[in-house]
Amino acid sequence: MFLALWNYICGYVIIYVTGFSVERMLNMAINKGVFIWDIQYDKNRVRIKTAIGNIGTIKDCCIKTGCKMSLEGSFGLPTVLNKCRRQKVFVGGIALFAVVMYIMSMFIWTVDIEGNERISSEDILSACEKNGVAPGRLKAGTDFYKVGESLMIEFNDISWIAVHLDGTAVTVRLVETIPKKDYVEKEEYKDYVADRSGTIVSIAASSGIPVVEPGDEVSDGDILISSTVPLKDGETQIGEKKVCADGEVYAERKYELEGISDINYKKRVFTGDTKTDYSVIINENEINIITPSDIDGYALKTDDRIQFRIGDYVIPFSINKKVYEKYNIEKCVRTEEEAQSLADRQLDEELARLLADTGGELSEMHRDILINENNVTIKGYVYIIEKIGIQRAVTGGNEEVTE
Amino acid sequence: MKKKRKAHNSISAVLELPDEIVFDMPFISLRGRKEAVIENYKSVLEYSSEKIRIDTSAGRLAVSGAELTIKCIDIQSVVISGRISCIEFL
Repeated sequence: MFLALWNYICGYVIIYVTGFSVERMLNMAINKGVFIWDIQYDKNRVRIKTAIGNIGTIKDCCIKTGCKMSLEGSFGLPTVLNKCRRQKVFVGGIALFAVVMYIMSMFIWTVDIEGNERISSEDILSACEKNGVAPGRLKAGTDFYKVGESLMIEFNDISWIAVHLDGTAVTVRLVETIPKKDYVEKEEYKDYVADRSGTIVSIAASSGIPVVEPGDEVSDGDILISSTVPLKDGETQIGEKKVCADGEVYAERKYELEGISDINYKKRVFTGDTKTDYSVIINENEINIITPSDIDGYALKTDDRIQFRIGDYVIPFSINKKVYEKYNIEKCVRTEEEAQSLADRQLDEELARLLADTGGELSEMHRDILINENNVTIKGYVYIIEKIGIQRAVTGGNEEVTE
Repeated sequence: MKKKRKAHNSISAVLELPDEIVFDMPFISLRGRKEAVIENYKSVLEYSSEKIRIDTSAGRLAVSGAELTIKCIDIQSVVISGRISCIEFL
């Protein structure tokens, strides 16, 4: 197979030899160092293949042995290239393709991260970029071993890392360290105190002694779970021990929310007249040469950015298209029902936001509706059960004290 | 001449050298009945698609069969392919 490939690359000719002593001609040519292959007997003539440069030798041998030769043609890569000389665009295309492929292969095209769980891929990618490993960067001159080392230094949670380059793809394989357990300094004595006021609903101490009960009103700073644990011998207290108080305390807290909706309001009515503004963004720098004149009374309707990419590589060139639409302001009037419904919706949104912020559960809610000439106001009185309490260090606390 | 041959014989026997190196004997290898490789040949005497005769230092070798072709040939060896039915020294 390799011989056939080599013969194709070098090029060869097919020659037909006829005569009384073809064997003599063959022996003579071979003794002159001519390599011949694929000799076939075909209707009183012999078909042989040999290198293009051996035609002269074969011709001499034929003359000396009284044989006649006829050339069928030349084959192989040189012949194909010779034919392609006329098709300049085709050859140019192949050459351009080869050059483009070569240039493209000089760059890094993708960076893959494997093995990360706690460290985000974005952080590793940005750290890689700082070290010169990112899509679009040149492969040459990048020491991937050093990149791995600097990543190790940057991220404390990495115990092993390897940065490999396969073709144009960089793979970062890493192993993370075992996560540290939450360490509580038990030697530091702490009370569990309220960080906001409320009515206690439930209290569960995992360490320390609870000093409040369900139903008690507490305010900010009140001790909920004490760090001082009495040591008893039967009913008699023989001393006390300081601990780091901890637990879960839930309290009900009251909030006031409000939703207001105006009866008279102004509305934008779009006329359908639009103005378009195109700009070019090169490397995050916006170039806007032609801007639409006088966009007062126009509102931005769409803002689209056309980003160009090659694979995962983002080309630092994009086109931004902004469409502005003309509007007129009209005065409108809502009905009481519409205004009430809108105010109600505002109140619900406020409540959802409050629940998300506090992380509590809704216990009770009352609504008061106030209707004026100009607006409708809905006041909501909300009771939310939420977790309260933080640990606060005890000043002057020390070890076990016994009588 | 006989003395020289005897000396070659004894040297090849002592050094355990193969005969095809010392005496330029033909070395024939077969791949099934499809291909025969003959090394250390002298010349091609006759060539047709049914019979190929080759001159060697051990005598004339005839390869008979059908659709015989010389796959490649150089000064050292000749490769015959086709349906080989008989190889004989004449």
